[in-house]
Amino acid sequence: MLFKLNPTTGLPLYLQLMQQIRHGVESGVLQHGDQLPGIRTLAEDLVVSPNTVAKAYSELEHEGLLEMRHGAGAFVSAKRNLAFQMSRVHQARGQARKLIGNFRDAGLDDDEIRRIFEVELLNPAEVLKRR
Amino acid sequence: MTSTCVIETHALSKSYGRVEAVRGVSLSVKSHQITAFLGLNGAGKSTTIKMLLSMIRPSGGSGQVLGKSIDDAKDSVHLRGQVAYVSENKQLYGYMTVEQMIRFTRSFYSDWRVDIERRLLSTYELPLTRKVASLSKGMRTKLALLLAFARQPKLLILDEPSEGLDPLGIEQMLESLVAQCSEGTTIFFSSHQIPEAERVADQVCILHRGRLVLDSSLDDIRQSYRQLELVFLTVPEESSVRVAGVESIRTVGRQMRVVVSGNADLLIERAHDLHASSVEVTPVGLREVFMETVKGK
Amino acid sequence: MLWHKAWLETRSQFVIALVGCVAFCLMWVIEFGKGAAGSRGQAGLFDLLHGVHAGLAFCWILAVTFLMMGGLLQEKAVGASSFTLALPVSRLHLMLVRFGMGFLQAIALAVVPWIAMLLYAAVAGYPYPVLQACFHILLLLSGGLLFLTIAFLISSLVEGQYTAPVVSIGISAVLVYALRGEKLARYNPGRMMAGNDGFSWRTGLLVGQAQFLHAAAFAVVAALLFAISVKAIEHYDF
Repeated sequence: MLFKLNPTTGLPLYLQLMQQIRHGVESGVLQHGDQLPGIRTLAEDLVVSPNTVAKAYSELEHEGLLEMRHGAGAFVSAKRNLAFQMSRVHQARGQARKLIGNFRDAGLDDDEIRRIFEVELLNPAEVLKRR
Repeated sequence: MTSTCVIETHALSKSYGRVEAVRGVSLSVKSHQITAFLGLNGAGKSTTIKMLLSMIRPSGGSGQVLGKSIDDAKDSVHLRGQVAYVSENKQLYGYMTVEQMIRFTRSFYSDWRVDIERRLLSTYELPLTRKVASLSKGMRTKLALLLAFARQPKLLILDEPSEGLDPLGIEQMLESLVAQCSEGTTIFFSSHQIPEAERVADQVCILHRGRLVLDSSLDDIRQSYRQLELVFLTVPEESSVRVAGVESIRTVGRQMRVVVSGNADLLIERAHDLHASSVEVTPVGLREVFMETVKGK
Repeated sequence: MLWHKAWLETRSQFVIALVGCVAFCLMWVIEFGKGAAGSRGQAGLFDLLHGVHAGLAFCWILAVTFLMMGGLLQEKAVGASSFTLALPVSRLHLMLVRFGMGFLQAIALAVVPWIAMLLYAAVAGYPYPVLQACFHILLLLSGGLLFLTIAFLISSLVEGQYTAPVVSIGISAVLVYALRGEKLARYNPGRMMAGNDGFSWRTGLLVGQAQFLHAAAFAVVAALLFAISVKAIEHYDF
């Protein structure tokens, strides 16, 4: 799988990598049993710190998305409710599509819509709820 | 992975007469990580590094590298056997050929890696029989890098490793850096090239006018630093916006641009309280963080 | 491989100095050898060789001064000192090797010209006693050790590719000039090198007592100068 990490956004590289791997699984690029490159290989390929790759793999292993087999590497593991997760994302995407359609109809342009989501994700009320 | 400190300094200082080149620097460089040591020209980075390698005597404070004191001559000889270093000017012995330089350097280190030496010789396309004095700056830099990378040291210290390299050379250098880290080497490199640090660094230390003004993981910086563009119909006093974490405020007309190193949510709340008509949040790249850190002081 | 490095560093200067010293000696003996031998036979030729030896001593001092220029301060001017100091060797070790190489080269610069002169004397029909040649060489080295260490000390104190040798030669010249006259002459290392004490112009041979005490005294001073050089470099901020 091809990855593209952007060092200048506000998102840590390991989170970007995790997102892209998750996205790969959701979109079917990565199937159950597929092997991801080893930490060293991927780090050298992307020219990022091996700790970045290690952290991403480790977190995904905790989530159950990856299975680390000692000596063999990282393998995509299809969880029982992966299908459910995929449909959940699928549903949310559908809802977002409708919402964005509404915003556009109201005359907001894409940049403004993006900013709104950014601010809301940092909304203190939400932050407090998460805590 | 236990995180011990490969480099540890305690209020390390160096003064030349009245000029304080390094002031009370307390570093803790963790093992198995890539740490970027950033700063403007003349900030004191090279001086700090030279103190770590006992080339310069500290005026005050203490330091340990690989658990050995930098003040003790015997300890220092021992620790240098486990450290690979590329100096700022990358000067080598002009009267030796490339091959002689390699053979000479190799003879001092038990951790020499012949396989990497061979690979880099061909990657860098270094002519074995050419005298170092007749190499171009780029070739000399590559040779200096080869002499450090063709080893498996515990610690690799690089002072401005990309200087003198073209974009391909920089890419190759970063790949070697990452490969070394994968094998367990701790990397400590100084640079004023922010993009390189942004790509490979786990930890960022910023030195400004001899003082350590930032020492944080790059992930933390990415997650905490934010730039907020606030628009007010009636612009409030800057002091009312100055919550904890605010690094800089710039007001032009009805716009207020605030950079925070944390608590972005707090500031958004405050902005709402002050009836901001618009709040935009954007991430802050390492370059801006660097500028913010060195400008205001 | 520090010895190899020291050799590569000084190789060309050494060869030039060697050729120079040998040429100097041969030029003098070839020019005046026939005349000296013709007028006084063996004694004449032997006197000549002794005289040329004094000239050799002078050339030798210049040559070793330049050969001793090098080391960490000079590397610092070029920028290579950072590389050398990062090596897992002590500064003392670096200095010992540098001095050692310089010392070996200095010996060669005394021995090889004398071999050339011995060959000439043999060819000319007046074979020169090897023992006498050895005495001359030992006298040169015993007194010369001091000039060697002066050069070494100056190269450890003074930066600048041309300043250091000039200062060193200046000091050597002042030393030789100051220690003249009846009372002070015995402390003059240059005088010891030339071997005029205990030399019989009649026979052209060194006949006096060996000056062990003087040699020892010079060696002690030389060791002191070496120690000061080491301290200076050990305290230097590169």
